Amino acid sequence: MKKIMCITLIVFLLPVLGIFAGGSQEGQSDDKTVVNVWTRNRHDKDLMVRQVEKFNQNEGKEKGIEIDYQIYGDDFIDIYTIAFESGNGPDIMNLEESISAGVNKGVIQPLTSFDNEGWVENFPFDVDINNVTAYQGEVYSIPQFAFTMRMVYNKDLFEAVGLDPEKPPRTYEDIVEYAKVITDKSGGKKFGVALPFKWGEGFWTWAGTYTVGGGFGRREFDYAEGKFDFSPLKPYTEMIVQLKKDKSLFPGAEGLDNDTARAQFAEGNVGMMFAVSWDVAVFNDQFPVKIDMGITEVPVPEETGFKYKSELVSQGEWWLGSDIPDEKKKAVWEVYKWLNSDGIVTMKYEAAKNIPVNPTIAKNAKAPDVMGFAEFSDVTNNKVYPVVPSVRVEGDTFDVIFYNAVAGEYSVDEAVERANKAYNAALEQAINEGALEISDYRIQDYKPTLAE
Amino acid sequence: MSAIQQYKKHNRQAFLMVLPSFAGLLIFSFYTIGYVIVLSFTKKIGGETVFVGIENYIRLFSRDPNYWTAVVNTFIISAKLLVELPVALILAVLLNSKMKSANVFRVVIFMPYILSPVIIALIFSFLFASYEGIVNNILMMLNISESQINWFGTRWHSLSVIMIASVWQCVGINMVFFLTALQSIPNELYESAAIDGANSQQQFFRITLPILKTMTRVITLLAIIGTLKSADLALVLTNGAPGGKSENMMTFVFKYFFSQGARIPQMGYAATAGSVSALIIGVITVVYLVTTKEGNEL
Repeated sequence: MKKIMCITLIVFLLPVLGIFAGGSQEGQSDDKTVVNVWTRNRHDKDLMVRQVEKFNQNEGKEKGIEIDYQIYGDDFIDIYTIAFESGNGPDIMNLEESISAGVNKGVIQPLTSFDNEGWVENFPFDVDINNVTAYQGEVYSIPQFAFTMRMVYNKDLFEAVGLDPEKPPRTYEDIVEYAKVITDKSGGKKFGVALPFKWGEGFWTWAGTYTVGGGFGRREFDYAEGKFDFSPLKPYTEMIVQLKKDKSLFPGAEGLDNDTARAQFAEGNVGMMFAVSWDVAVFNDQFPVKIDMGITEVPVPEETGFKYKSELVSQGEWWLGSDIPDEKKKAVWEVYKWLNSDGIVTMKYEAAKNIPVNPTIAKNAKAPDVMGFAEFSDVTNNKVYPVVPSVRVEGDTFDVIFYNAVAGEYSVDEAVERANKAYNAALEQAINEGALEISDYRIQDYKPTLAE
Repeated sequence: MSAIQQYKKHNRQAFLMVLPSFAGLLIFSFYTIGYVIVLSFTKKIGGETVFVGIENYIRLFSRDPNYWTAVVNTFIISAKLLVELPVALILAVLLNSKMKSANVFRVVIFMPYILSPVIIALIFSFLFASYEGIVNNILMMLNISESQINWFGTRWHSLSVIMIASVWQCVGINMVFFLTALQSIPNELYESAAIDGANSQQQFFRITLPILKTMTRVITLLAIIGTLKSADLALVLTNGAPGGKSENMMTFVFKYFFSQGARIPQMGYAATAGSVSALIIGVITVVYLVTTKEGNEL
């Protein structure tokens, strides 16, 4: 039944794909090899289309290669799945699902069989990240671009309350101290820190778990033990408890969403906030900041200091399709290397389209003309972490568990205990049911990279 | 044509006429209900949907106090009907009189109902904001409160805001229902009563209220069902804040069906919670209809 439905869909969708692809599905014409590149990246469309045109007219012409660069919409995953089912998949593509899903579905293939010259090994940064770009010992993609987390702070407000605007907080203890000064000296009109809890952002991923790596080298999953351990969240939670006690948290954190928090920061009513690299666009366009905004590395607990490189959230950018015929392999590999070349990565960085994972790119390139982008792009002390298993937990998720500790329902230690219990039970169940292989996530000799 | 043939022909025509509606009912009601019930006995394991018997039901009834808190919250929120329906009736009676600008008031009061619940939720989240919120500022200006109240900081505060926003949203539609019923009462009844010397208070309690009884029963039933299955307003207004304490039945189901915060979707379990919630609403409806049956015979 499934097969019949797939074939029917292919029959109806192929003409459409043909139209949008400009009818250029042929692999090889008389004098050139056409390499099909499918993407859903629309943010860098103009830049990439121009570069592809340039490639086709110069380098490509010399080598007899033509790139057919197609940009798709939100239904990209269905489009490439159907295309692969009918043997018309792209040669190079973005992957819209996990690496394990892509491998098991048979839509991608490792770089190994193409790379005869040690190209992957020679990358100046780790490219074989377990379950991100590498799966069961094989590298499938290069993690070229990333999201970074930083703390943004209001330099004007720092100055107004007697804090040194050039000395941003380095530790959680600094945050608590500065926040109290800001709140106390502003007569209840301005507040130290804004944490939006309404949609879970206060604890969930970006402002929470993704930021704690600097002190611990990991977040809620202990790779060496192969089980959940939420203890790295303890100092972060204790900091919030203290901020709440001091009344230095922006009022109504429980009902505060991220947009409101960012708008209040932009207006100058908040001293410090956790931010993600996409907030650069928010603070430039959506809620243009009316203050002198400082950007600093996310603080860490005093007792650990910046011991490790903190987390860089990335995924593979370009993947090799599984249906590449032998006669096209050489051309596809040329294009794959071109897409991952320093030239293209630098160009995207300079146009403020992406943050490169390779720290030397940002160092050597021209700083983009977008306020804050360069600060978010210095990834010297950031690193892509191995993936954490996704489990279907019973009862409260960790964001709610830790929020309840902040609300005083139980201690922070108990929150750690509760979260560990719930998530490890779910992990064990998933392993027993065969939903995941712990060997995919456990790294017995895991050693986090030390900060520089 | 014999009588039997004619009967069969009429039956065929009737069947053909009913068919489109019946097909719609079959596909969009019975099939989807059946699908959700079947889904409630399953679980997704590694991308595959697996039949797990009554495991989800055991979990819901024995290991998930959060769901039952959500059920209790739903009932607490429903208490808003004790305010909403009398207010709607009073407004309907007032606007049924021949007062000037009655139509303007009708439109203004009905307007919130045609607004998207998401917009209403956003309006109320700004009104009740803890920082420079209009409600807090008014309370402080009137010396009712000394400091800014954190309206989403406790379960009871959050539930109160949901109830207030919900009353504002729904009072208009209930007023229109009552208004329709009021306008169907023949004027002659009031004229005769007036001739017999009944004052307007007596007319209201002896004529209007008894005649409205049937309609009130229907309006109340619709309001109860509407309140019990409401999700959007609460979801956008509080999102269960603080820490899931203001979750109701439908927001609970929503959060398990779709990815929300740190939660990964658990569709089978969401279907279980949805089925049990539907059952609860069904039982309440039946109980309400049975208990109010006697008074309906007027």
